[in-house]
Amino acid sequence: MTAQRSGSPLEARYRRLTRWYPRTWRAANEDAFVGTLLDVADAEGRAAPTRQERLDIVGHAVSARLDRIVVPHVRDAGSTIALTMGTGFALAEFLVSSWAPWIHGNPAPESLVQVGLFRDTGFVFGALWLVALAAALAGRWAVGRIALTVCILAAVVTPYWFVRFPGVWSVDRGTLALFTACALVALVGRPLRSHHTAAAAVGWFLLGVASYGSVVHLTGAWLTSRSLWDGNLWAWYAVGVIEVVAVGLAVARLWTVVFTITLGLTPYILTVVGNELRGILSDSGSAGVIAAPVALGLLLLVLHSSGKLELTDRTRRRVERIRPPRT
Amino acid sequence: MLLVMSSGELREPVFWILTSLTGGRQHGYAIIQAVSELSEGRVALAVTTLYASLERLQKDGLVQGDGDEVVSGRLRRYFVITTEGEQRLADEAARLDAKLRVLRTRLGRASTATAGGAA
Repeated sequence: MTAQRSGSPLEARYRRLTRWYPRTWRAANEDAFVGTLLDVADAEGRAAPTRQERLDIVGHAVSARLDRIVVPHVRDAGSTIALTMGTGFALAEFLVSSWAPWIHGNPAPESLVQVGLFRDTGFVFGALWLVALAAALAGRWAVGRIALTVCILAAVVTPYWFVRFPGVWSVDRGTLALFTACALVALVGRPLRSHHTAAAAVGWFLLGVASYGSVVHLTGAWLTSRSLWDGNLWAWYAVGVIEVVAVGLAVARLWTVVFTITLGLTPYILTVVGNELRGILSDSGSAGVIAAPVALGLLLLVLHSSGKLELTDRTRRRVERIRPPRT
Repeated sequence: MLLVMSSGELREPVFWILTSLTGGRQHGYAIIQAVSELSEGRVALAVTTLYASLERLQKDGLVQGDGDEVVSGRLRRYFVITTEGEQRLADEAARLDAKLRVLRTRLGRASTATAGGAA
């Protein structure tokens, strides 16, 4: 059943806004959706959509499009992993390279100009990621989204902008690529508000510090941010282990967990592949080895989310423990 | 949109949508009005929130479509709560009830202690 199109200017504006939605969604819902919007506008005596309404419609439509690429619950879980990974690595970079409190004075006076206490721009990213994590944990994800958007802009702009300030070192491009990819994945979902989220950020932070520590003893010399990708990447091995676990989970048909791992690891994999293409090789192993399983996982995830591949989670049986009645 | 919070509690809009549908089949705007009335004006559902919630509720089998009607040239889609939806709401009521019982007991004890202390 279809509604007659009255062609009022307000209806035309609402219909224009619905173009943000995927075609299949519009075919199924547009008339009923616009009808409800018009009912609300009539009740409020409005002849134009409100600003909030326009923003809501665009947000809902983008979300509907994303749903067809990655199912919502996997987006949220993947966002949690990306947020914790970005925060952990940003803080590791900040501690080891930008701040390095165990180094006294300027470690490279001929070429480096410090920004206050800091040796590179990592303090900006450390602060932004910390704000994003705190916002997610406090249930203020809108603030976290703003922090991560600023982080993406800063990651894109700073390598070029700081050319104007000779001697001020930017965080290296590999690490900036990781921050950008993590921020993008984190932005498409809503991270879990839980102490597990904070704990995961601490875990990634320790892994980042360990990766820096594999290059040289941390307190012995100053390490530039690029050193994260030069040494024996402990994170590379951690990712490998997580992927082996994911394959086991796929065999057990726990697809939601498998897809969450896949999406969460994507930023790291993209960065390692990007580095290898730029000729930055790590001692731990090739990017291809850890990229292939994630690429396969992403393919399955997109096919599943778009409805082209049915992958049903195995139902976990819950064993009810029946306690004997107290006498 | 997820239907429940990490605590297992139904999200506020979802709770009110299901509650409004216990009164019988309703179309989108009628649900928005009912939610506003039932919550005494505290919850003002945006149309996008309503549709996002209904999509998820339908996917989870708690609500289903109940036909379309054209009124004054506008399409109205009706929704009804399913048996599973009623059961989910009953579970939520039991959970809220248990929380309230604990709270009232604690408040009762606290006021008795205060009265005892004042005496």
